[in-house]
Amino acid sequence: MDELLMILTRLLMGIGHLALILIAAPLLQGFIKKSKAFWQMRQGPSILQPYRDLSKLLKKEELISEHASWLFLLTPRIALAATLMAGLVIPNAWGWAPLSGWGDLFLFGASLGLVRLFLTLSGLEGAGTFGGMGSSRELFLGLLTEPGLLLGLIVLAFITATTSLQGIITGLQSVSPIFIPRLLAIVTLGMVSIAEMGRIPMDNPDTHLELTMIHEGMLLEYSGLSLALLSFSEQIKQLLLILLLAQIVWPSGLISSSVGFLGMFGALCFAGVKVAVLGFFYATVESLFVKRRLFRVPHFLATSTATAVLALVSLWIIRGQI
Amino acid sequence: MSGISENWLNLVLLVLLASGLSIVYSSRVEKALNWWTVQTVAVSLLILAQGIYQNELEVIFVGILLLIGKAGVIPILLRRVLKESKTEWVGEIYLKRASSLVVAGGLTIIAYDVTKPLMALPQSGFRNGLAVAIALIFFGLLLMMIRKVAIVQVLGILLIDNGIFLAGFFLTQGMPLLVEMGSMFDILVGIVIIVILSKQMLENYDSLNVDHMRSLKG
Repeated sequence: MDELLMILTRLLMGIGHLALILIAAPLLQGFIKKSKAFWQMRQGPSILQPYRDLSKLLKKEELISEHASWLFLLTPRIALAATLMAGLVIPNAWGWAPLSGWGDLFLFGASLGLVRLFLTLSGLEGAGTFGGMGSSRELFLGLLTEPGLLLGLIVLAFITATTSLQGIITGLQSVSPIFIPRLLAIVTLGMVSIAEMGRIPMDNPDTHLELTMIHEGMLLEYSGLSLALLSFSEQIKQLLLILLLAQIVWPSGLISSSVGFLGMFGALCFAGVKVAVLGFFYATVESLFVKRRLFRVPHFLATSTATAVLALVSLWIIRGQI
Repeated sequence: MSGISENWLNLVLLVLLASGLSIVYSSRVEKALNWWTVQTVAVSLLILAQGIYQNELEVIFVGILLLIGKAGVIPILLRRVLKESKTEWVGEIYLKRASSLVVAGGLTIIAYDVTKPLMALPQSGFRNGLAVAIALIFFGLLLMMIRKVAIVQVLGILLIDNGIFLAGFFLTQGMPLLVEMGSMFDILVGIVIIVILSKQMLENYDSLNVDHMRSLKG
């Protein structure tokens, strides 16, 4: 009976975790849009605009190209499901993740890879030229971002001697914030997140200009419900990356210390502030820089991967062993 | 020699090494000069912090002198020549930027290998410091060999000077004030002479490319 209760509580907590992610993702998108508008001296859309966009898209009629196969309809569902699966291993405001076992960080990388695989396939599905172009560019970018992302997380795993993301966040609390490998890993993840989120030095999320779009190119054939699911999963991915980065920069695993309703609420507010600060940071970066030419992108991503390698080497030098 | 915590020492060393690599990699003379200024400021802050932690007036004095003399005067002098010459190109002839960065990485590893016998220094961070100092000396030599513009070669000398200064600091933990001042004055006079020479070069050839010097033989 006790065991059943345990399972039920865990299940409920897991559902709460996912619900929180689902609710917060469009809010973050709205906040980033608002911060960009602040830098451009505009009033900008309301913070709640992404919710309205999503509900509008849900009501619209969906058009499907007659050349498209079942894969075209399957992709948005898989994208959302895989992104949520990645969300299961990210520690939330209380430093708790529903799935926290051996090799979490690879599950995170693999889920994002699955989304990328299906998106690129369905970009080719509609037989439009821009879809193919977008897919090819997305694979090109993915090839360069994934080493940096995984290597950066692996350095953190080496520092804390665990491969579960929840364990990494808990372990980082006792590591000095100016520990060199940790700083370099944060720099790597920060740079890679820009590419993963499709933000400005890499890809412009706001444009449908044929020659420059990467992520939008693949979504060009979608409409209605499917488009809503795809942009929702993109927003969730953005939230997950920023949340992970925020937890690594200022880890706050409050699962033990925060007892009572007030403590839990305080932890939630603290995590919200962290995420908002990082979101504002990315909006600032986006306002300060211009989009780079596609062939300059490897330089940027190679720098991030080199930083990760440097983090690994410096860890080896400082500790004398890994 | 307790004082600066090891994490802070490592952070400063990272700044030093990264700025050294950036000087090797930079595409404009002006950028390289800015990176060198950053590096020198980091060196003098390190000395100042050490002096403050140890309560030694001499070391603090050396740090302030470094901050004014090297990080203040030399960049102004060099920038003036740079403005007159309108040079932007760093003169990469023998090695392009990317491959020189790879060579510099290799030199860093060699520097670590060379300092292996010195692992018994009082603080484990000091061995890293010595390795970074020797790596900076190597970068300076590399820069003087593979670049063709006079100002960049001067930057090579200044890098070597930073490296020697750091190596001395980490090995002897504070040289006598007189030696420090002597070496600093040396480099200052050297730079003044080089600035005058490069003005002469500008007058004669209207360029800072050292290849033109060979045409004198004719």
